[in-house]
Amino acid sequence: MSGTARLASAATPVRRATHAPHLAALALLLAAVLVVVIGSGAIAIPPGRVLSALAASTGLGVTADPRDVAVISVLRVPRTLMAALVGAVLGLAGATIQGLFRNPLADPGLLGVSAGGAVGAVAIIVFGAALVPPSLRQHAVATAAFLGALTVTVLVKRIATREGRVLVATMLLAGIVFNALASAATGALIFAADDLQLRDIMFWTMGSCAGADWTKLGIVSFATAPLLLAMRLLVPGLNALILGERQAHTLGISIERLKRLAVVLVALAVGGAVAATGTIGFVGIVAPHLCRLARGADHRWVMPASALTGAALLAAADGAARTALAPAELPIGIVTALLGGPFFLWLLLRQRARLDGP
Amino acid sequence: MQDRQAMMLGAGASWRPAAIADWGPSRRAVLLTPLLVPLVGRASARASPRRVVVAGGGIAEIVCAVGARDRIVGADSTSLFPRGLRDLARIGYLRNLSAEGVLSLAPDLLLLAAEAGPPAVLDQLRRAGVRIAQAPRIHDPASLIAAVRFVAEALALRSEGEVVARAVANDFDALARITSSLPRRTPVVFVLAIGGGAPQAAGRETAADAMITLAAGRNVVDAYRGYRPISAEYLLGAAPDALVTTNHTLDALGGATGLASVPALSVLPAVRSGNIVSLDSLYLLGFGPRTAHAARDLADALHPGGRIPPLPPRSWLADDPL
Amino acid sequence: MIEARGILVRRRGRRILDIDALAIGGGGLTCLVGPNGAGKSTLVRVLSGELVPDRGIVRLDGQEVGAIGAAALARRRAVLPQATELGFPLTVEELVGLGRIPHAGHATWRDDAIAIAGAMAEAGVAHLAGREVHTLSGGEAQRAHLARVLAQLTGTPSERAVLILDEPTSSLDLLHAHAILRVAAARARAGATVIAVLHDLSLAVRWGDRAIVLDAGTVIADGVPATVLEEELVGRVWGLPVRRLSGRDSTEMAFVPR
Repeated sequence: MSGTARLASAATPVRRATHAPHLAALALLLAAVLVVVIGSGAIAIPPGRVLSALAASTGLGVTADPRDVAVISVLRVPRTLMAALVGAVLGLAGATIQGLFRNPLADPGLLGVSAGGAVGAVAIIVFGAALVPPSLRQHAVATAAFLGALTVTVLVKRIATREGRVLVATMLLAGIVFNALASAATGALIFAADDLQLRDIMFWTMGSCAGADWTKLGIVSFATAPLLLAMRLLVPGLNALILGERQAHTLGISIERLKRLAVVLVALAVGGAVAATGTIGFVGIVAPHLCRLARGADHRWVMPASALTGAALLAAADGAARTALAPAELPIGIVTALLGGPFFLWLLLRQRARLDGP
Repeated sequence: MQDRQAMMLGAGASWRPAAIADWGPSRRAVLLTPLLVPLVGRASARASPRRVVVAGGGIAEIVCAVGARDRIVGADSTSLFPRGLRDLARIGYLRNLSAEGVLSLAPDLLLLAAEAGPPAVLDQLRRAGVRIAQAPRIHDPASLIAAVRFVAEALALRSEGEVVARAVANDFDALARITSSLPRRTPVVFVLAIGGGAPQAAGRETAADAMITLAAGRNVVDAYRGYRPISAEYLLGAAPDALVTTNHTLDALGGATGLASVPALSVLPAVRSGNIVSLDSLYLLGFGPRTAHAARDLADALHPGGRIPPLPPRSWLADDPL
Repeated sequence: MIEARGILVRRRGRRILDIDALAIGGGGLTCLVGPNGAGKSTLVRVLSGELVPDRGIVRLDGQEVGAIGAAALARRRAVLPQATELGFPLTVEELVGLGRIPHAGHATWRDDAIAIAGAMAEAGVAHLAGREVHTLSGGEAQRAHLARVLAQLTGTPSERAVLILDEPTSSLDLLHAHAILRVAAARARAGATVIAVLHDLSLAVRWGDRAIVLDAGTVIADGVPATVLEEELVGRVWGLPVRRLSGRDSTEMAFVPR
C-alpha cells in the first residue's frame, strides 16, 4: 500500500485542490456590482461626489452636498447592502436545503418559511390597526412575518421528527401541508382586506428592499449571521450527504445534528430575510444551480459561492428595480422572476438536448 | 363657471367617465326594460322608495344630505359617514357585494356608486327584480353635482336634491375664487405607505390628484396614472413642499414619527420640517358632498399664511355625536 | 480485529440475528455467505457500528464500538455498499475525496491528495479521475466507490483498519467483480480486517480465506471456504440441491443446481 502511495507522489505532482481563487473572483464581482449599483439611480451623481458622500457619512470630516449624502447614505447604500445580505442568505439557504434534500430544485420555501412569513405580514396589514398599539406599528409587519416564518418551520420540523430522528421525506410532505394551510390563511385574510390593503399585500408578496435603513440592516444581520458564520460547519456533512444518509453516517457525520442545525439556521436566516424584504423568489434556486454548473457540487465551493452569487444577483436586481422604470419602482420579485424564468427554460432545453442525445 | 372648473381640474378634464347617463337612448331602453317589466306592480314604491340600500361612501353621504337617511336599511363597508351608518346591516365590500345580503333586506332601491360590483352579483340582483340605480362615476365637481341630482331623482326627492346640488356648486365656486387668488400652486406628493416597501404615490387620474388640484396644489408625480411604488430618489428630486396622506396610513405607520422613519420619506425636506398633512380617507378621497370642504381644508394646509376663509357650514358636514 | 459477543437483534418480535460469539481478524479475507434474509446485511451493520443490537457488544481492537467517536471510527473502518445513488453529479476525484472527510483536522491537504491519488491507482480508476461518476459503467463506478473507501482508510495502519464490503459485486460483470475482490484480498493480506458479503459462492471460494455461512440469523458453518461449502451443506442451507464442480485447484469452484 505504501508502495502505491510513493508511486503516486513520484508520478503526479500533488496539486492543492482549492476554490480560493474562484471565490475571490466572485467576491470581486460582488464588489463591482455594489459599486455600480450604488453609483446609479434616478438622481445622477458623478463618482467623485459619490465617494465624498460616502466619506462624509462615515464622519471622516469630509464635506459633501447634503442631498448627495441623503441619496447615497440614506437611500442607496442601506438598500443595496440589504439586497446583498438577503441575496447571500437566500443563495446560501437554497444551497443548504438542496444539499439536505439532495435535490437541485429544493428551496427553503419547502419548509414553509416564506408562507409562514406571508401569513404574519398579511395579518398585520389587514388587522394591524385593530391589533397593534400605534407606538409599535412601525415594525409590526416585519416582526409578525419573522414570527410567522419561525412558527411554521418549527411545526414542520416537529411533525417530521420521530424518536429524535428527522425524516427528510416527511419534512417535505409536512412542508406541503403547511404551505397549503398558510395559503388558505392568507387567502382568508385577503378576502377580508379592502382595496388599499390588497395593494399592500400584493406588493409585500412581490418583495422590496426599499424599506431598508441602517437599523433594519443591523437587526437582519443578527438573524442571518448564524447561517453565514456556521456555513463551514455544514459543509462536510452536506458533502457526505451526497452519498446518502447511511453512508454519510459511516463517514462519521452526525446526520441528525446536521439536519437539526441546518433547518434551524435556515429558518432563522430566511425568516429574517422575509421579514425585512417580503418574499423574493428564484434567487435561492438560481444561485446554487449556477455555482454547481460552474465548478461542481463540492459544498466547499457551492456554499460560499452561492452566498456571493446570490448577493451579486439580488443587489443587481435591486438596482434594476429602482432604475428600470423610474420614477416608479418595480417590485424586486418581478426582476428575479424575469431572471429565473428564462434561466430554467435554458436549463430545460439543455437537459432535453442531452437526454435526446446520440 | 363650468369653464373655470374645467380649467381647475387640468388633467381631470381628460377623463371619460363611463356612466349610464352617457349611453344613447336605445341602450338605456334595453337596460331599463327588464327593470320596468317586473316592477309594474311596484309603481308606488318606485315613486318614493322607502327601503334603500346604499353601496359607496360618497353616495351614502349624498343620500343623507338630501334628507333620506332614515330610509337607509343597509350599507356597504365603505359607508362610514355619518358614523351611525356603521350600525346598519352590512352588505359586504363595495366591489364585492353580497347578493343574498342585499335581497334579505327587501330593498325598494339599491343605490350604487359607479365602482360597485362584482358585475355578476349586480346582474343577479337585477334579475331578481331589485331596482338598481348606479350613479355615474364621480371624479370632479361637475360629476359630483350630477350625481347629487341622480340620487335625488332616484329617491323622488328632486327639490331637496336641487338644494344640495346648488349648495355644492356654490361651494366649489367659492373655492375656485379662493384658490385663484393664491400666489402659487404648492408642489405636493400624496402617499400611502404600509408594508415596508417603497411608498405608493398617487399619479394622474386619481382622486388624490384631483383633490390636490382643487386645493391649488401641484402633484409632483405626473409620470404615471394610478398608484405605484415610487422611487425615493425621484421624489427627492421632485422636491415637494408638503406630503399629503390619510389618517389611516399615518396610523398604520405609527404616527408622524413612524412616517418619518420610512427611509424614502425621511430624506424629504417636507417630512423633515414636519409639513405632513393628513386627512380622513373618506373625507379627502370619497368625493362625496363634503368634497369642497375637504379641498378647502387641504388648501388651507398647503398654503399656510394664505388666510383661506372657511366655506359656509352645511348640514351634511355634521357627524353623529358619539 | 472485530469481536462480537451475545448479539441479538429483533424486529417486530422476530429474531433477525442471534450470534453467540464471533471474532474476525486481519491477514485474510472473510466472506459472509448465506441465502436471502439470512441476516448478512444486519450482521455487517452491527459489526460496522451502524446498528446497535438489542443485546450484545461489538469490540474493535478491544474498544467498544459505541464508545469510539464517530470520526475516529470512520477513520478506522469503512463500508462499501452494493450501490450508491449520488445526490449531485461528482467527478471520480471528488467522490474519492469524500472519503477524506473523517480526516479533517487529522491530515494535511497533502496527505489527503496523496491518499486520493493512491486510492484511485489501487482501485484502477486513476485514468477516470476527471470523469463524472454517473457517466461510468456500473463496474467502473463501483471501483470509484472502492477508491473512496480505500482513501477513507488511508492513514490508519493496516492492522487496525477494517474494510467491510456489503454485496459489493452483486450487479457487476466478471471483470469488475474480480477486480474489486482482488484489491480487497490484497488489503486483507497486508493485515487489514476485511469482510465481504457475497452471493456468488465461486467468488467466495476464489478470494475468501474464511467463509462464515449464515442462515436465519445464526452461524451455520465457519472455516476455509472450500471445506465449509460442501454440496450437502449448500443444498440444505440454500434450499436447492447442488453439484459442486471443481476446477484446477481448491480456489476454483462452481455450484450448479442438480
